[in-house]
Amino acid sequence: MSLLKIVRLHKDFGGVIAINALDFHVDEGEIVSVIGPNGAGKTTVFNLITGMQAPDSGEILFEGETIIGLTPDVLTGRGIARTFQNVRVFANMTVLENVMVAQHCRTSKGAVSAIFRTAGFRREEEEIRERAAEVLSFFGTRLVGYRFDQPAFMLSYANRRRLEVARAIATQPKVVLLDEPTAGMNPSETREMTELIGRLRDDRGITVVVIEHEMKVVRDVSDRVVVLDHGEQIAEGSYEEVTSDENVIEAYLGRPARAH
Amino acid sequence: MNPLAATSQDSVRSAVKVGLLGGLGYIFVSAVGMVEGLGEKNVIDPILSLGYLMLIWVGLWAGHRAGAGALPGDGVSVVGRVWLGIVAGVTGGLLASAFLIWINTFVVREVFTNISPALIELLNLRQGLGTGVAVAIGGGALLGGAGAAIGTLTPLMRRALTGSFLWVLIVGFLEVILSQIFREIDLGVFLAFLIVGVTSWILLRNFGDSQRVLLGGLLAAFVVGVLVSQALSEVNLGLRFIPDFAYINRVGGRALTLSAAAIVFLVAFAATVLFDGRRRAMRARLAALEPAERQKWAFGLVGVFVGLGVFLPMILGSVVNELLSTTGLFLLMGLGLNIVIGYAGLLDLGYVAFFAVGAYTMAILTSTSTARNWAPELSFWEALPFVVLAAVVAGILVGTPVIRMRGDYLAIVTLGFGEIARILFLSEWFSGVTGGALGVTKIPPIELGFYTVKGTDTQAVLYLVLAFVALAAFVSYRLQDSRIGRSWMAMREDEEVAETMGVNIVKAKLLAFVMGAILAGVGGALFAVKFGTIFPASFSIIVSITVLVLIIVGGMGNIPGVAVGALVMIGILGGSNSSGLLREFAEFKLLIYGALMLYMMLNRPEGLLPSKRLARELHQEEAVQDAWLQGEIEQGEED
Ligand SMILES: Nc1ncnc2c1ncn2[C@@H]1O[C@H](COP(=O)(O)OP(=O)(O)O)[C@@H](O)[C@H]1O
Ligand SMILES: [Mg+2]
Repeated sequence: MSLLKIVRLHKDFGGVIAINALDFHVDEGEIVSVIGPNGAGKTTVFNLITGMQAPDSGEILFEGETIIGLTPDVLTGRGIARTFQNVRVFANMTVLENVMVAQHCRTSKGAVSAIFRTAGFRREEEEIRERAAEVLSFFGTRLVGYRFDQPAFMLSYANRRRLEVARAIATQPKVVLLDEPTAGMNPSETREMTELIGRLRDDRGITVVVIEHEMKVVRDVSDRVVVLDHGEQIAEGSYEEVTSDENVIEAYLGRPARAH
Repeated sequence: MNPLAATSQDSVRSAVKVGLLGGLGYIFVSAVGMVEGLGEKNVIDPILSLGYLMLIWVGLWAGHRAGAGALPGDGVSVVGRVWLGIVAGVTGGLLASAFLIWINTFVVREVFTNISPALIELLNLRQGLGTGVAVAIGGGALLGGAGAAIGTLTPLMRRALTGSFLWVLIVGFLEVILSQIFREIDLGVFLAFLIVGVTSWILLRNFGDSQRVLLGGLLAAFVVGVLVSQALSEVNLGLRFIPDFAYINRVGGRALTLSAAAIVFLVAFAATVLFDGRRRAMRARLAALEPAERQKWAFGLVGVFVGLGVFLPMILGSVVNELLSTTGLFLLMGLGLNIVIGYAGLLDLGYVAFFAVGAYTMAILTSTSTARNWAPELSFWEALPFVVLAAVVAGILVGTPVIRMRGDYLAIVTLGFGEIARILFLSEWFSGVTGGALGVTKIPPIELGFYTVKGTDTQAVLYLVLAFVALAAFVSYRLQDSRIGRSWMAMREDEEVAETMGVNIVKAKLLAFVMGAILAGVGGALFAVKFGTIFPASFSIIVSITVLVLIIVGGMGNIPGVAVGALVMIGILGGSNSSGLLREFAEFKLLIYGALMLYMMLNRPEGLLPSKRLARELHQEEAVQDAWLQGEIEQGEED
């Protein structure tokens, strides 16, 4: 059984068909890349899976159950996390707070225990803090130490992207959806992120779906590649299969080339 | 030689422009009635009335701006700058003179109701138009030059000069409080301050690490302090000669005497100059404190405030106590609205609805009046849980429909809710219970068992209000630094992302509304008891706006900031239906609110005492630059 299964999904925005009869699936433990020209509907697929937008028709199954109509916070609780193409860290919260708040649905203490600072509350706060520090240590020395208390807007662009990934991991997901995690990064940062995506699965057992433009990254991380164009899946398979596919070549060459 | 020759034409032109603005300022403060309305009130007897102070301030400001308008690169000398100030002053004086000639020649009172014969007398210095014109131009030149000259002083001297003058004004304005304190202070309160102060100092120095010892010791000190203050409350310290010397009775209220003003000025000036180095050293030391140390001193600071809260009401007298209880009620609401807006980012403009619900619930349940159909006549404490319950229900009722609304829409809809609440309480439908336009009367005092807090007992009411304020501040602090507080913060930053990170938006928003409603509701309940009677008219939209303005002025998201905002807005300027310390300004309150808001939005959008977070948020570039200068940030990624 697939971890995530999308069946004949359809979404249009007032006439613009963003997703058209899309089928695809992600198995547990896989790293799947989603590629396609700009405007192909990749981000929209993520928005539909995470409940931020509602599909017009079709079905999304997570662990065999439909998740259509569920709100984003419930889906995060189920184990779906994501990052955003246009980095959306909580800019005025500190690095640590960004990762702490992401554990919201894994923790439970409410207003009353916060006011009385019950033993349970203090224990949970301690755990939240420790887990946040642990998640941030995943990026080596990039986001630790004095950075903990720095507001996120002070981070470099690449570090903000890393913080987004950290925040997604902190929700303790089964599957994480990464939307162009290397966009705007230089080659060495891109290499680092590529290796990190591998470690997400290998060290933490998280299934990964990644939207990526950088073909080197796609080649290095993917077990499987899905190609979208005009909201439809035009090819699927290994990196080699996909890159030699006629449809794919046409989709990419048939329009002005662009980087990201 | 023309001293202006060295200055560029641009700076002369801008000096003229600033001068014209200053002239307009002169006309404005005169025409809105400030000069006349505040003319009676002497600040320093006999030389300076509040009305003239407004005009003097305009002149100094214009001169200062004109002098500072010359760019450093212009090579303008000190003399050149002073000349620029004089140019601005004369320009303003000319404009003012034109205005003077106009109002002396024509009767314009039918249109400009504030331009009265009395005002013309004041502006002419009671000597006829010629003197008026001469003073406007000559005074303008003098003030302009002085303003510009102040701008050329070293920063320390400038601060000492303006600061000392400010101190004179403050001592003048605080006459009510200072006189009262010096007259009333007795040996008991004095010793109590001493005991608590010395004990806390020793405790913090030696047992700073053990919270238990600290708390126990402080508590003991407070108990001893209260006992001492009660035992020796009859022995006056005999300091009344100080206010007798410093202030003098005048028609418009008591004013500072010239000699007292001079002393205050000199002392403040000397202190600023002498202690400048020490002040800097203190600042540096504070900034370098370890978090644990800092917490210790924060603890000490809380102790100071508790001490002030416990002992000051004993000697402040009923006028100031009354003022402070009103301030406290608004502070209570401010703390509530701070949760809704400052923490959760929900712009609620109908906040008065919760205040009204609390006040009416308390009033209806406790009133002993027979004018209405339904009167259970509960006691304050029996009714309080229902007040909280009613506030929770009101919070959910207002919160539910607006869950998916943002920004402007949320503001407009909540604004509507505020009005709906008032109109419902006013309407005939429920007048059997709410009393309609007549309101609810005969709300009984609070029984504490050992004491009865009557609404007219200003000292007891103040203690009660302060107790609830302390509770509200405590709750706010604890919520802010918790899982709930973080989820509010995230929601305020980016609602959509917060939801994707697992925050249940519906729950988080409702909780914010409910917490805010509870604080406002309790504030309303205290309001009802304090006045003994409530009318729908007390719950108009201006209350919502006042509370909003006070948290903006003070510093949104920061509890001490909200307190400062409440003190400035309610304690000093006066709230929607109470006058503050500066009762002379009561007539111009809304004008000053507006001016203050404009000033704050332009120059200090984070408020007077902002949270670190908000200050950073509104000055991101500076924060980044600071961090970069300290080597804490990478420019591009290192590899
Ligand atoms: N919220 C929206 N409203 C209207 N059109 C949208 C919206 N989101 C996406 N689209 C449109 O849907 C198409 C797919 O967009 P997107 O999923 O962002 O593409 P990709 O991520 O593959 O570049 C584009 O034509 C885009 O303009
Ligand atoms: Mg996209």
